[in-house]
Amino acid sequence: MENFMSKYFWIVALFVTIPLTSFADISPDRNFKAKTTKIVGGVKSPPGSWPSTVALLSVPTINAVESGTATDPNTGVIIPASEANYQAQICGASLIAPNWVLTAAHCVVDSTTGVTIQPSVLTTLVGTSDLLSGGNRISIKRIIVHPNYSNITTDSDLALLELVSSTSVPTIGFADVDIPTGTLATVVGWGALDSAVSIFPSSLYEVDVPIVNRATCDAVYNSSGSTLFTGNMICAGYAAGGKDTCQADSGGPLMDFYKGNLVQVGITSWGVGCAQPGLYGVYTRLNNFKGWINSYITPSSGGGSFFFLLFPFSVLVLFNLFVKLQGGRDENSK
Amino acid sequence: MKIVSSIVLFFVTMFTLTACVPATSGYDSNSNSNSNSGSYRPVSKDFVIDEKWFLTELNNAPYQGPRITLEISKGNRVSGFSGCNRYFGSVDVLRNNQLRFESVASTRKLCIDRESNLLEKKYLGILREVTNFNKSNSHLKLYGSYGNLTFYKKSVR
Repeated sequence: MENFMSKYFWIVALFVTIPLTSFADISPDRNFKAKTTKIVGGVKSPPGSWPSTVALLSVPTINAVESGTATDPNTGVIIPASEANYQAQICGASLIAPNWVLTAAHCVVDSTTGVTIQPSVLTTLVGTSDLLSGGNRISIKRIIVHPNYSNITTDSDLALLELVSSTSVPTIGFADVDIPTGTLATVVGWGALDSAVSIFPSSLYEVDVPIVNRATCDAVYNSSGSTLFTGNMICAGYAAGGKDTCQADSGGPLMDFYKGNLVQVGITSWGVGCAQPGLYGVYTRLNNFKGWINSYITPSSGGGSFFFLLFPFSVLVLFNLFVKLQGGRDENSK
Repeated sequence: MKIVSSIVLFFVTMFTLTACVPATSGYDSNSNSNSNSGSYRPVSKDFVIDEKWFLTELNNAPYQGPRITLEISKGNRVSGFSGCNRYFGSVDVLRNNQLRFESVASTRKLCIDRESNLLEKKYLGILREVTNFNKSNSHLKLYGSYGNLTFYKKSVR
């Protein structure tokens, strides 16, 4: 009996390992990616490359487009309903648990009043990189803006969105340290493809940018007396410019591989223009906010990628225990 | 004794009066004396500290788009709402009605109204290139190579 169960142990082990290897396939192979010049220096993401990336949509705009009352301001032509998601996208976000989305606070706070907007005003689009097809809209139950967010300085620029229902779309986790200076991180979004902020794609785009050391960011943004770049921010990009996030990319994830796993290290927040030489893009420094995020993302509400990784091993351990106990019973029954 | 009292009174009076004069007088838009052009001076209380300015004209035409604001606070900090996003940076006020905005950054949200995107871009483009200003009690006019902006004042409460 024990031999029989041991065989099954390895079959089950193989069975639970396959999903893990398929998760690895989701991450793009950055060594073989063709480089062309798009999205202020980036490339179009292959479908399914960044499954945890979420689009934040304006509900009034969706309603206007889908009811046929929205018209193109230049031509007067009615915008087709199929473009509802594309027209309504205002920010990016990321799925960090089956029912929790992370975005920038400034995407969910009224810029004039500083008041958090009603959850019904926004919705999420998960499970697609194309705003013109696929994906599911999931409504927002609750918006939680970080208590230290400043509408004036944009410090602590992050917010959690609790969804009304969970999704099976893969989530993304966080690193437990700051990503070292010089590391090439990837940022994704549906933001403007040009620094003139005039061309917006319907497909998700990505660009690799190096993390810049803090002294350089300080020198760029804090040299004229006021502190724009705070300890809750990281900056990334090239001194020569040309590669950056832009309008509509806010809230999207800045990601890197850490200990073999894809993790989110920042949230697109602000910049001076887009992709300007010497003016790096600035991102929320997620490593400073893990405690706050985890205080909401409890295991009962998901747990993120880390939970996904641990779950199969927990099954293995329990199964092995069961096998041993069963073996013991068989011995006793003889 | 009377002479001594007069001298003491004179010095006390002078001391009191000089104590009332600020060490750094700040910008005086009407003063052209001591014009050491190019030297930076801090934004003074009589400029726009803790006042909120609302855009009323863009390139001499009445502005009727989404509300655009400009605020200047202590530490030369400038911030405001550019019709869709928040913007922030710093300002250097020079002599002779000269002024310069430094590193005017903005968040990267997209306006649903595409016209607002263009207006925001135009406004920030002008603001970043501002070189001169004129200020009255109720109005602030900024001039630069990309155009000019007129604001009216509202105190922050």
